Amino acid sequence: MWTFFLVALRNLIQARRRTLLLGSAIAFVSLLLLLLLSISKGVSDRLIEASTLTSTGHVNVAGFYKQRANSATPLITDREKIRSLVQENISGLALVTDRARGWGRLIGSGGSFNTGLNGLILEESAFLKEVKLAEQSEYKKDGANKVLGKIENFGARNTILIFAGQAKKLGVDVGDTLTFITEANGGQANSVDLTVAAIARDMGFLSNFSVFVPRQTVLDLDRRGSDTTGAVWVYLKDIRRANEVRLQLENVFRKAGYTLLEHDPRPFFIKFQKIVGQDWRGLRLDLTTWDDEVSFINWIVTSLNGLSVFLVIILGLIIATGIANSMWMTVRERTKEIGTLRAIGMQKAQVRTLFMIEAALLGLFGALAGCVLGLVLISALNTAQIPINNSGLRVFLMTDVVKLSLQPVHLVGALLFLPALTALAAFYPSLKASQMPPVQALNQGK
Amino acid sequence: MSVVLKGVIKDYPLGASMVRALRGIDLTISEGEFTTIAGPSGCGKSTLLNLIGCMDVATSGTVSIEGKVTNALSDKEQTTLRLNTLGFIFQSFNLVPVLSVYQNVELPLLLQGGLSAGERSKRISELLEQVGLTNKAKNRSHELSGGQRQRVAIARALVTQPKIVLADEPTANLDSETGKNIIELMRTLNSKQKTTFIFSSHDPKVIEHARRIVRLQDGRVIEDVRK
Repeated sequence: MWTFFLVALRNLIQARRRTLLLGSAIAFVSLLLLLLLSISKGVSDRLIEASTLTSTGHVNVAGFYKQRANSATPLITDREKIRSLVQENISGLALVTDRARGWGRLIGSGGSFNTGLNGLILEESAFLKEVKLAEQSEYKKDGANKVLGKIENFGARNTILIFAGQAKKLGVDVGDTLTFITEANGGQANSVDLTVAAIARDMGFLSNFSVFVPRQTVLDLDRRGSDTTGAVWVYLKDIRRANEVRLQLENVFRKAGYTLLEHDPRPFFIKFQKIVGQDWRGLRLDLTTWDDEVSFINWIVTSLNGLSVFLVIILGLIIATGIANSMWMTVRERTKEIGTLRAIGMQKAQVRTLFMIEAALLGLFGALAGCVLGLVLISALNTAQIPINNSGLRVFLMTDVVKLSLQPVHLVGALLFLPALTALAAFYPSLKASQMPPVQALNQGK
Repeated sequence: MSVVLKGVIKDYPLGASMVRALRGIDLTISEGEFTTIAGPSGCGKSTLLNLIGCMDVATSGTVSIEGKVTNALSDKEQTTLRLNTLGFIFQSFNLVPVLSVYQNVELPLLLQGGLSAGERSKRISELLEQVGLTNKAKNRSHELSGGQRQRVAIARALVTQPKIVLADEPTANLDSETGKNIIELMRTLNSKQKTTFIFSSHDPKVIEHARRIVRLQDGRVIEDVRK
């Protein structure tokens, strides 16, 4: 087999120009493949990061409470018991916390919008530790390039933390007052005035859906007891276990006597109307994972992946055609050699292997070069922290600077995929070469 | 008997018609013979060698190598027969250009398998010594003269220790002195190793070295002389 490699390698070196041309094209495809994969993974990582900070735990124990047949409130009782059951029964926990949830209209001096209200437990909030505050210029025309307010100011009674995009819509700055109006269970409107303690930098698409207040503010607003909450959020050391833990928790809560809703992989606010229409009363738990809660924006990752696959297929076809053409030329140029090899005892399958190895080696060298270039380019782009100035693109990519995430599996994938593709493209010409009768090959090559 | 041909006919298509290259050849070549197939261009010499070498199939008649009727063998079996029983020397040497002298000679052994690197090295070194190319083992074919290339081809043909070596016009691309040397080398190897040599030529100076001359004309044996 080593001789086959040697023959293939030396033939590639011999046809230097063709090898360089095709190798460069393969390297380009490999580079593009890595870029697309790392953009897609980058967005996917940002989505996980942003969603698990703002909107969901890795696994959520939430639920609906129905006082009447035609109403539903996204809250659960037995908060302490539910938290204890999670802590006692699940291994590999990183954090268990909970968030009170509310829904209503936030009104500022310059505008208003409907939004979810997140009641944070300050000392347990990963969001508060990670969030970055925005400079005034990010939400205010002619604003200063400095951050106003402090994260420490958040947590005092009736304070609120909003995102830069929301501040722009509401026309408010740090220290201004907002009014939040919600409809309570009885149908009456409750409202609270909230002071903007800090304005955070946007975290992509998800920044549109939430504002943050201390937990007690939500409880006070809806006059709820301290043993109620919106959802218990479970953070795991390994997020990949989320679905397994959800299934484990379903058993735990069933055994503990709770009634569970059938698993519905959608965020709680989309299920709301469905629950309102159901004929039952009391509390039913609803267990979801982080990707259930952000399924409504999975289209971003899905479309990016789709676009990547489409581009890779098109480029792959171009490369495959180039390789197939090149192998036809090689077979024609080396007809006499094929005849000789067959004459001295090389089997058809061995001739086929010889040519396919040559194509696979070309694919491997091209992919290697593309991977090295890709590594350098992606590292350089990440180091350069290039700002994304287009607000639409910022929302779509969930980040305000270019962040690409290159995984070892992407490199291994490119290094396996491209040689396999080139070898496959060379199959037919190789097959034809191997099927040539030796005497015909020798005579044609004369 | 090493090679037995009975009533061998070979037709080739030429446009819409057929051309008969061999017209009923009956020929027996014994083990250890040093035979030339002689005759003018187009008389069927190469066709005959190709049929003996399992590189082509007779239209009718039978070709037997070492008792095996080759017409009945599958492509795989014919290839195996070429690898283990036959050796080939071509007019234009046909070395693999990207391999060194050593690697060219080693190639059939690698295809055959079964020998360790050490055993292969020993056998190749002995052969290269016999053909006088020990100091060229690492050279590539384009760095060699025509005579040296043909010596490499001879070493390659003999490395598997075949029973029969077929050489199609082995001296046609060489000057007369080199050609003479190549024939002498083949003859020496024939004497030492008792390998059957069958080679074609139209050159009287080359033909005179053979111990048996089978002369063809228009696809028929017109003379079969043993010296």
